[in-house]
Amino acid sequence: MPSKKALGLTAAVAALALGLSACGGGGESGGGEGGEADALRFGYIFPETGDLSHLGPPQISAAKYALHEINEAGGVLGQEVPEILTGDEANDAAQANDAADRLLGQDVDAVLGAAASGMTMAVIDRITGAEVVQCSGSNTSPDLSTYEDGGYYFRTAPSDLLQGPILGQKVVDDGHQSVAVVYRADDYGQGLAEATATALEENGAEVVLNEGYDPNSTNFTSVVQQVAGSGADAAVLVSFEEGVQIITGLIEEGFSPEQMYSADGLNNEGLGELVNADDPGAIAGFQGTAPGVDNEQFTTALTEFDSELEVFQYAPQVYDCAIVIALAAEAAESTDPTVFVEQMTAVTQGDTQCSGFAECRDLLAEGQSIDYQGASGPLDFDENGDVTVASFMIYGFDEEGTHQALEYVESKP
Amino acid sequence: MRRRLVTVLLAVITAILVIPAGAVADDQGGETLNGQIRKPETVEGIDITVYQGSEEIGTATTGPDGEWEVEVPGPGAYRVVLDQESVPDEYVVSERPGPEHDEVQVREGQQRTVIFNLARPGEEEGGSSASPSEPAQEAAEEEPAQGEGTPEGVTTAPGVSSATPFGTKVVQLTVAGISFGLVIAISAIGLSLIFGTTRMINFAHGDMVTFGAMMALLFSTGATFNDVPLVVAALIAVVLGALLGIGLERFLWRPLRRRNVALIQMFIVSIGVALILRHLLLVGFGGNRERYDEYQLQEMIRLGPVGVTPRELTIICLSVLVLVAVAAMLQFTRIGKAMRAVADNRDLAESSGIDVDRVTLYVWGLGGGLSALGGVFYGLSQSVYWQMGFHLLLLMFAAVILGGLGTAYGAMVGGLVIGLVAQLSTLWFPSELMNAWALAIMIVVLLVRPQGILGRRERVG
Repeated sequence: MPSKKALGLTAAVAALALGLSACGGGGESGGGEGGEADALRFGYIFPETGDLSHLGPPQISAAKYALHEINEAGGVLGQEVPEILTGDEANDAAQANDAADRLLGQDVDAVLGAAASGMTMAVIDRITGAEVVQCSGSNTSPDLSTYEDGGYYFRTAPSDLLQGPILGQKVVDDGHQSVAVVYRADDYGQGLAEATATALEENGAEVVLNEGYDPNSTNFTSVVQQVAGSGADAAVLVSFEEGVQIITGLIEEGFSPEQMYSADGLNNEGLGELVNADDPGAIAGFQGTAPGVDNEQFTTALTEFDSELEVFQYAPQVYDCAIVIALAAEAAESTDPTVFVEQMTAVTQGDTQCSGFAECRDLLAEGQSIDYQGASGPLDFDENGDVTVASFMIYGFDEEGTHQALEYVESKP
Repeated sequence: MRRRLVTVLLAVITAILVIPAGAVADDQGGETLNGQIRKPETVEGIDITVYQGSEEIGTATTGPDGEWEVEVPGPGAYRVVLDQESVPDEYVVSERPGPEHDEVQVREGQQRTVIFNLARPGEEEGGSSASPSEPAQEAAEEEPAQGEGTPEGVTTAPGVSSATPFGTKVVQLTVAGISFGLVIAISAIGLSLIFGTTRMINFAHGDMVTFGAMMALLFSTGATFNDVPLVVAALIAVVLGALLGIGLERFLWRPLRRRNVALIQMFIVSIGVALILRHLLLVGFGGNRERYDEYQLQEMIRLGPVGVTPRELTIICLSVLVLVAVAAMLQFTRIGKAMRAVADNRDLAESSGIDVDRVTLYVWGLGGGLSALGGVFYGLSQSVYWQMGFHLLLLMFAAVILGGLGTAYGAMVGGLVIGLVAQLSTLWFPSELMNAWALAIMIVVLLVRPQGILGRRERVG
């Protein structure tokens, strides 16, 4: 019975294949054998490969840039910060866990990342359980606010609970009253879609469709048709890059880009070319919200540091993560995470406002209590390690399909 | 400072471009509260009052197109109340969101929209109903009123403002399912034939699909090859796909078989090939989803209520043609008969004088070419990215097993069934479970017919 046997084998091998594929890729761990036992040791877990790999470069550059700044200013507690240790989250829980284990095995004091909320969920127990400070610049899932992290997890990106109302309000302000919400069914998509749908309904708009889709899916025809068939006069797409397929599908179904909204996942300068390479203006009128600040200075400085960088999403947030950690270590006069974690909130809420590592450290040295003003906003961590004041930008695309920041909005809970 | 000014200006300009219904030009920069009463239709003469604390800020009455607007002195929290006395007798205020909005926060420079809905008495809960027929009616009534009042009203996009009836949805999804199923079928034929001839499950088949799609992308959009038209690029991709299949058979699988490597080891090797191929493609093309630059954003052909893009229609027609051609080849040509014979019983075929190695080589070539073609079609209909084939692989397995392992026709039928079930399931179930239903139907069919739809019952012993 060859084919029966083959079936059994197929099943076994399929399981194996899934397991094996999880082991592919993987970042190489950097040197970092600095020698000084007391140096503040950073590691990161960012997407170097995988579906979200476009989120990787700005965050990696921002982390390196922050460390560069810190070392320019003389390091932390007089010790040069060794080169950052790398880890790849690869949008795969198993690989992210692997990366976390490797970083912890190399005695890091602080981990930057992960970039995706879902990947943070996968590694947060390991990292915070090992009493190492974790700070992400791009996690937006509301679930992470109240997560049991022993106080070791921080994030400089605002929770979707802050972004959802702004997105919902934007849709309503543009005169739309019945809205279809489609989202990728993961921690990011669900959280933001729910917050947006709630905001829409509070504003009196009707949510005629609220539907998740498999983020790994390759076929989006049915999602497109559900939106088109829902009778909505606007659609909110909580998507990453796969949203491009939904946008093109909707345009072909007769939707106008002016009726489509998205969030940070599609805040992509090249979106026009992705939708239509010949005529990027095809998405003129498409709008969305994203955590963002009007900080030209930082963008310029980061471009000078890494001239190849084209996208800057979440770069200021990650930069702030690294600087706050370094300042906390300065304030606590220790690079032991169990000690300086106590100072993480304090350095963002003190009396004297300052920005940049050197300025803040000098104030600390004078014995002042500082209020670090980050590149991404005033920060002010609350007891959950969330920022309490967040700045969002409303982006849009003009007739040529050029990405523009239309407006900056501050949100307080 | 100047930057902010520019930003605000841009915002205002966009606001005017985007919200023809809401924004009024002479209020630039000032904060306002505004809205349009248009559910179930636009109503004139409704009074709306804005308070800050207990102080009355202003009152507005809806115009002929149901619009109202109140200027407010600055950012802050306001209370917006709809005067129920002014509502005409044939309406009541819909319970959601009700006649009063508390704590309406207005940002600096914001022209904030507040929604009030009316309903006809007795249809009170109509606002939150999601039944397909009712909104359709409402929308139909609403449209003419909109057309007069607001020339560029936000609800005028064709086919969007009304919910689609169930029957149309079924037909639409059937078309989508057929197109999806045909792609699976084309890609899966090779998988089935390769299993039939060599008893080996080729885990690299999904990545051969990706390979085809990416090769077409390389030749059609890559700067290196001077923008070959996609049709030519697709042909090149098919040839390259066939060569890849032949190469794998000639230099990997045949030597392995010669050395009598057992099947289980070969499975693992094929997983290795899959991983290598997939990651080579990832390194070469990057992890982004990309699209071919031709045949995008097409005008729909409307056949009655059903819309289909010329692209999709072409894919369906070409797929059917290719499947018919493959079937004819298997049925009537010498090599086709030999393929079926080897797939049926390798030893018997060999002893009857068929050059089994040569046939196997052709099968790999055919399978590789077809999977590349499937990849091009799939990439054209959806998008090209490095895991597309890997994610399709499970559905291809399902199609092959459902249709009957080792038979080409089984793969065709199985592919269609899987595609249709996956798409049609979204009529009732969440789209994220689309593939789960396809696999569930496979399990059910196997429970009833263990050999698959077209498979032959195996002799025991």
